[in-house]
Amino acid sequence: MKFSYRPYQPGDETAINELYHAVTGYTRSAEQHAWQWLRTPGGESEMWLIEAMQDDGQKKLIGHHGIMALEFTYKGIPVRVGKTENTMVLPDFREKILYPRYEKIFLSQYEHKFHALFSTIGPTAAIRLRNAMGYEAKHHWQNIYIGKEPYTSLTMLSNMVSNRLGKPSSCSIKDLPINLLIGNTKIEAYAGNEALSAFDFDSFWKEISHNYPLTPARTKKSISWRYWENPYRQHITLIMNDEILGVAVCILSLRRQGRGFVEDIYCDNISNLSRFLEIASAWAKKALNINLLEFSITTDTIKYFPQTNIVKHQHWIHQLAGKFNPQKENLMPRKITNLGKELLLDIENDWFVSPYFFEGR
Amino acid sequence: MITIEQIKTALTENVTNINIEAIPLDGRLRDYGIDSLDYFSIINELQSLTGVEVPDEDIDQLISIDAIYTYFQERSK
Repeated sequence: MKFSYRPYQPGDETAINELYHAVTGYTRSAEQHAWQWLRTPGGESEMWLIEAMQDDGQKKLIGHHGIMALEFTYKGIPVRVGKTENTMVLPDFREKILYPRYEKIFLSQYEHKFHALFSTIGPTAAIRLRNAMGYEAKHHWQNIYIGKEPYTSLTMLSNMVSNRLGKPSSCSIKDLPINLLIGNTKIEAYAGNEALSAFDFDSFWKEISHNYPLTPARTKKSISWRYWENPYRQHITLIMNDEILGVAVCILSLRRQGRGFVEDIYCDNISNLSRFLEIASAWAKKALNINLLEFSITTDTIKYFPQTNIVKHQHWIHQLAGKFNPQKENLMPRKITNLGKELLLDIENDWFVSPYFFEGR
Repeated sequence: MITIEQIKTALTENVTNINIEAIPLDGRLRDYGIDSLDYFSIINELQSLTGVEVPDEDIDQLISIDAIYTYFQERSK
């Protein structure tokens, strides 16, 4: 059987989504595909297809590798960063081709268009593959849990039980309280893209981005795409204003009952991130009765969130939950391209990146 | 010309956590945990060693040490 490869062409979406369904079991619409791959803030993403020539002369899509094009900044300088996504080969063909051979070719075709590349989370085989492509995987994802005891432990326990019984429904964001005062911090909460008319995201990011290491750009365009245009999940945006601490933006998504996820948080003074995270947690408890906020960050930027401010894993319920749901050792592979090296980027540059969750998983 | 020993050496150098000596010459390598990335490294090394290019359509022929030996032997002549 003959195999060939080529870049994406308009019209390939249906075949790509069928392959995606065959490999993952998830269904994805053309619109969801367009949001994730064609409207990415860093411009059109890289999609590479592997096809097999069938007996009837028709080509069948049997493999795909993608790099989503994202807007990042490094100390305020705009950089183009790619995230690996949808690397997949039909099971029947996994022993018929040498997939790494293709990825090496694809990498050589797109590498020069990016300053850096990364994968958020991957299984061991994916990490090995990235290592073979020149990525380095040494920074781990770490979960931070924010909340007050005993509520956080009880929520973890109830989530652990409900995980075993089936997926519970998400909290509702209807009747969202708009303004709340937590201590001296005024918080405005917005559902969907309502925050756009209330806050100048572009100016704020322009003013503060030089304080941040390598991190996703929080421009209106990037934030809108990642959160408010996201077809898989609803998000709540908190604009927090404190005379002493400054201004912060926090974006939350609601997961299981009593549990929320901090998708992103940034503020004008990076040393206040941890304090704002606690304020966001207090808001979530008061406004939505969310007992536990979860946040993921890598080992190089965990220092912005001192251990003293987060729930410690010493409670017996945490230990029990950990036994039932052991945390996998998740790594974040990174690669600096020649373009990135010209800007003196490094995999040790304190990547301040929270996980990108796509496809409703 | 390639030898069985050279193939075993390529396997040993590119595959970790697998006892290559325990794999029979006609044993299916995938059954012993050799994955796509291992194959990629091994084939690359044998291609460099012999000057023989292995196209994708031939990959599924290279199922065992014996099969790899025969494949490269025939094409190195």
